[in-house]
Amino acid sequence: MDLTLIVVLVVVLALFFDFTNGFHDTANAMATPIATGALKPRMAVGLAAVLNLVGAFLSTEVARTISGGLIREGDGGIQITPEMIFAGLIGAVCWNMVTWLFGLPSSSSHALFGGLIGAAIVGAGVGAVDFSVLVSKVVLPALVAPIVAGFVAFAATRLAYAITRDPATGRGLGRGNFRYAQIFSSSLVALAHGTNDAQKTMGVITLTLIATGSQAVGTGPEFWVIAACALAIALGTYTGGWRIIKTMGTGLTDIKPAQGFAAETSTAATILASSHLGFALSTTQVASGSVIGSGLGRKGASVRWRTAGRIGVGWLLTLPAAAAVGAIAALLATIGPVGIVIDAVLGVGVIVAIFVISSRDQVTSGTVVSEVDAAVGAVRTPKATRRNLKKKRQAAE
Amino acid sequence: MIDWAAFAIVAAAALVSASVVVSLFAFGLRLLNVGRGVDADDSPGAIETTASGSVSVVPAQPEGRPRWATFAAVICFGLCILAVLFGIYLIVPFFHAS
Repeated sequence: MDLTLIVVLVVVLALFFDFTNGFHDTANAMATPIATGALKPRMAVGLAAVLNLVGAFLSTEVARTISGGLIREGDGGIQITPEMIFAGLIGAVCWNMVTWLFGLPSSSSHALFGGLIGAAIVGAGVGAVDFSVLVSKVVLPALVAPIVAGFVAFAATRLAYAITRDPATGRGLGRGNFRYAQIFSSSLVALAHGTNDAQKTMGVITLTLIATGSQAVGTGPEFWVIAACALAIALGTYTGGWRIIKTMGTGLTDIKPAQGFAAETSTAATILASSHLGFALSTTQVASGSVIGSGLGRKGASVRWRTAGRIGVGWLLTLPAAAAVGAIAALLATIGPVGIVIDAVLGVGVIVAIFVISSRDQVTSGTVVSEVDAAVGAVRTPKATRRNLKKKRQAAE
Repeated sequence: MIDWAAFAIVAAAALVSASVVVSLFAFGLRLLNVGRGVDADDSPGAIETTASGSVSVVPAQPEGRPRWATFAAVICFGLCILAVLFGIYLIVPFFHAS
């Protein structure tokens, strides 16, 4: 087995996963400011990309504990091979592409865990996975994250509206100005995302380098790994997963500036609390819960539960689906180098196919603002045709 | 299996901090509107302050608006800025590395 080829494949695929992670999660920070017009779409994704790039360089703590005990490795456990990581990444990337196609915000970490678990089961049997850790670290947090964030956002939205209500007339006072605050709250979410998510890929690449003996056991990520991961996630973020931004910003509920600020502040508060008080929660699930909570908190707003239900189904499927793809890829990889090549070809095929399907109904930066803003843009002055000019002249005379 | 105590602390901390920050900013906006007319609810035309993004340089209405209201609003926004700085402090491990 040519180890260098597999290492190169893993690094390339891991960086592509990082890229999909970036464009998947732009929505977490920037969907609401884009929807309310606090930031122009291109400006918003540019800001998120810069903050992700900066964030990726800030810490390597998470990268050191990537597998988090989920897969029993080390003494008495299983040996993680690069082939298994490769298969797991294929599962994660394929699932990220599918959820992006459907515009579903789903957790990239769950996809990564799922893919690695599937590959581990094929490579080393069901005993390789610690299911109690799986339930307590992945499944239960996925259930409680949107509920907590939703409740916090609901309360914050209620407060924002109650405080800015004019007691005499019951109307709003300066609520449009919540837009300025939105820029700060969403930037915090983007920065927090950068410090966390790029590190998962750094961890995977470092794990591979250690497993193949190219790097000493117990050392942190090399600088080129950090730089490559930071660039990949920033590029992905800038590309902007417009489909997911559309779902989060306008699909779940119609967001006004006060709600957007309440939702992002709740997202930032929940994520920071969870990462510092030891109860890990998924950014995507927290952000989605916050948007729904802010929709429930404003009187007259309605939440589109069908869309919320679709997102929920996506979350339930993320882990098993990525695991299934990872397992199939791992089965193929057991054939040997030929299997790895088949894996790579199939993986690229799926990615290309999804890009082709997605180009049929493109969602771009122009189609993600709320319908009111779109309507304003659509009302144009009549074209300066000869007939219109003639009319104008006649009217002037 | 699952650490419910840690979970409760996270939920409470998130609830309190988000509520406080949102309330502060909302009070700031409310105070800036003391003695001022009602705006059209959330309409884009309602923006009348600060293109620079810094919230404290809102021009005070020359008449009908008491000084204390502007002062209190600036304090509210200042506390919000402190909250953002604390958020950055929490995000960047360099500041609180053990």
